[in-house]
Amino acid sequence: MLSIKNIVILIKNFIMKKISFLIVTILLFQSCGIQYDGEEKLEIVGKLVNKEGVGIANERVNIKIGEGGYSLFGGVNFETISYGNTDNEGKFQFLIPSPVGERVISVEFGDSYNIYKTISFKKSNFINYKLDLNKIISYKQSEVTTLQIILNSTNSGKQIQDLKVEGIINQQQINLNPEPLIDIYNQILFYSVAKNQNLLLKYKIKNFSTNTIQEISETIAILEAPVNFTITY
Amino acid sequence: MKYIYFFILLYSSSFGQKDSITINKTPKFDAEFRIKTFSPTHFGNNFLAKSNKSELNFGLNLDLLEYNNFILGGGFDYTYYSITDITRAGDVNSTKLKNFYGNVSYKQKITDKIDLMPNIGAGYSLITYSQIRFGGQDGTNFRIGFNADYKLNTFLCATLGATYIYSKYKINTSPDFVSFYDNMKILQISLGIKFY
Repeated sequence: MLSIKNIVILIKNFIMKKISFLIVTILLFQSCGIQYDGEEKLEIVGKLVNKEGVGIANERVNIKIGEGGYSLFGGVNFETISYGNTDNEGKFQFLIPSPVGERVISVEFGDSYNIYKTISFKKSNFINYKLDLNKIISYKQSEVTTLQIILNSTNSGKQIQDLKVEGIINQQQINLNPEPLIDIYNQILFYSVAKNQNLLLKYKIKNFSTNTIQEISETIAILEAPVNFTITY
Repeated sequence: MKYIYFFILLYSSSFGQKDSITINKTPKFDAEFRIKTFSPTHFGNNFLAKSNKSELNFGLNLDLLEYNNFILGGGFDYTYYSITDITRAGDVNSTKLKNFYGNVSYKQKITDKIDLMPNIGAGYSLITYSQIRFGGQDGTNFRIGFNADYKLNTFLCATLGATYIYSKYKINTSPDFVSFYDNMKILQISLGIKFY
């Protein structure tokens, strides 16, 4: 038989277990996510301009921090830590709490009118807690087209090296800490480029059997339509 | 600065009225408890003044030890802010300011029902945000002000007060923004009740 005293003890234990579970759950949720240092603020400034160099007013700017994991769709998960719009001159200025550790920080621009663009960097790119991105050129959808360079290898003893496209390139994803370019071989390279221009394509072909390097420059005319350019080597 | 001069003047005038001071020869334990709400006005070009809006404010104050009309006590102030400028604060939803302090008051009897208590104090200050993971800023607060207590009955007073608080915080940021984040200046007009 359970006495009233025992019933009270049982109820007490039950409530204490529930409270403990609640506290543990709250602590777990509190500790999830990116940690920030509240006593450190990073300043990010810059100016968004069009291809004529005129500031783009009232354009949305998002500041995001890489969470380190990967999303279901393959990209890195990011948390938005700040957002706002460019001012009348296209300038923007953000002060964000500093993430703990060396995480990827990304500034994103763009809407349906202007092409989406991101600039990625790390805390090590800041000088005295400030990063000036200077002028960032944003193109309208109607101002650009695509260039596709197809690397068609016919000789395994040859390799393309130091491939560069010179001209007006719309760099949609800029990384201030680029990964070193590994050897490119049988790849398709995509570029977003301004319409109505001549691009200069420069590359080297290394011949491993003769141990020689051939430097090549070619001009690619870009009009309105997308361009496919094949390098056979 | 004009507020500091005002409080210094208030102090001087209080100490000048010697005839109404009650002298206690020995320190006396005399617990008196205040609970109050307050309206903070922020000054200067700083984070709380320019990027936040106060929404909820309350404070607790305990007077503990009395000697020669001087009273030693302490308290806690809490202010909850909504963020008004995300570009300076980040997307952290809300700011919370917590001030813990010790203070010395001087009890000046004005009438049988009204006591004026100028006070001065200092303590620990902490700014936090909606979640622990956003971190916080530690600081030190200095305060000067007064409470005017109106006796309602034998154990309860209505209390009205004004306190000027200057806080200094730790911050690492670009040189242009150090002064924006490293100090806060607040004038708190408070209203509450005191149990004595």
